[in-house]
Amino acid sequence: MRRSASAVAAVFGAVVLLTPGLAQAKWTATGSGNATVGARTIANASALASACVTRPGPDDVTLTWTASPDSAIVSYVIDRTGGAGAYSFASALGTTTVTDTNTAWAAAAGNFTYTYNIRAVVGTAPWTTVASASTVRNFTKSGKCS
Amino acid sequence: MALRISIVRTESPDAPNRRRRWTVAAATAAVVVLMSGVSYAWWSATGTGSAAVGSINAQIVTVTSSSPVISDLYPGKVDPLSFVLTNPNPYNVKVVTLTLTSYASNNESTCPAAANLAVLNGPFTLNVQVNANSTANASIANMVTMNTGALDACQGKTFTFNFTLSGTQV
Repeated sequence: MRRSASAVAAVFGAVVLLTPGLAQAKWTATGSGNATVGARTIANASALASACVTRPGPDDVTLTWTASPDSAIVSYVIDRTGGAGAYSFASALGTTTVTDTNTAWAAAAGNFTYTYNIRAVVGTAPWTTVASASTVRNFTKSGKCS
Repeated sequence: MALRISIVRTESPDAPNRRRRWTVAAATAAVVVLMSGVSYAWWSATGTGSAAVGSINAQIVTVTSSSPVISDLYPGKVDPLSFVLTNPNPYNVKVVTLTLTSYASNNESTCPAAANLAVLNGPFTLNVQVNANSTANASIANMVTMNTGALDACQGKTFTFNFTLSGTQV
């Protein structure tokens, strides 16, 4: 009697185990591929303009410009050429004006010009834009701007 | 004179046990029938022939860039890496682990990625479910940092990260 009951239980267990769907295997999944992130291309300032500022000695030149679309992360460097030679000066982050107070050229033999270009730079990194906008100021030998 | 007939049914001592065995056997048969999905018909047909059924081959889950690609890195900037997981299989999959295998810029000669980026190497635990024949978006936060001294030549470059992944059917 006990053997018979055991046999029935064994058959029942086997049926349960063998019945499809009761014990489901999970397939493993594998895959591959790639994802991309990009770096900005910094945009320069635009519409650089200049104005003479009369002073007792050599005049100053005030420069203004329209900010780069990346103004939150860039400051600006003004590159000046001509006259006394190449000279650069920087603006503070977020500003759109700066004054050149170093226009004197003691060795000038006659009238001369200064050409100003602006470029945006990123922090202390060597990232910069190509200097694109420019403005020109004429000076007399004594440093008077026009 | 009335005739009284009396029928006395007697039961053998083993009768209860026999009934129990029949009951168990009947229950077992019912379970077998119900669980195997077989339906029984009085009129049965016979025949011969063959049929085949096979298991499908599991297709790999793919990783592709989200669109549009984030192009926001500059020196000091930290960006997530966003991507799309595509499951071409007819069953749901949970992507559990993502492993970075390599990364490079689109111009390694002028802007080598390893020298200009700081990258989390993982492996990354995602636990993202991708439904059958479907896609799911995922990202890894703070995955990429552009070094503060990154080369000027890195402006406008793209950086591609190659992954393998593993997961399971759900």
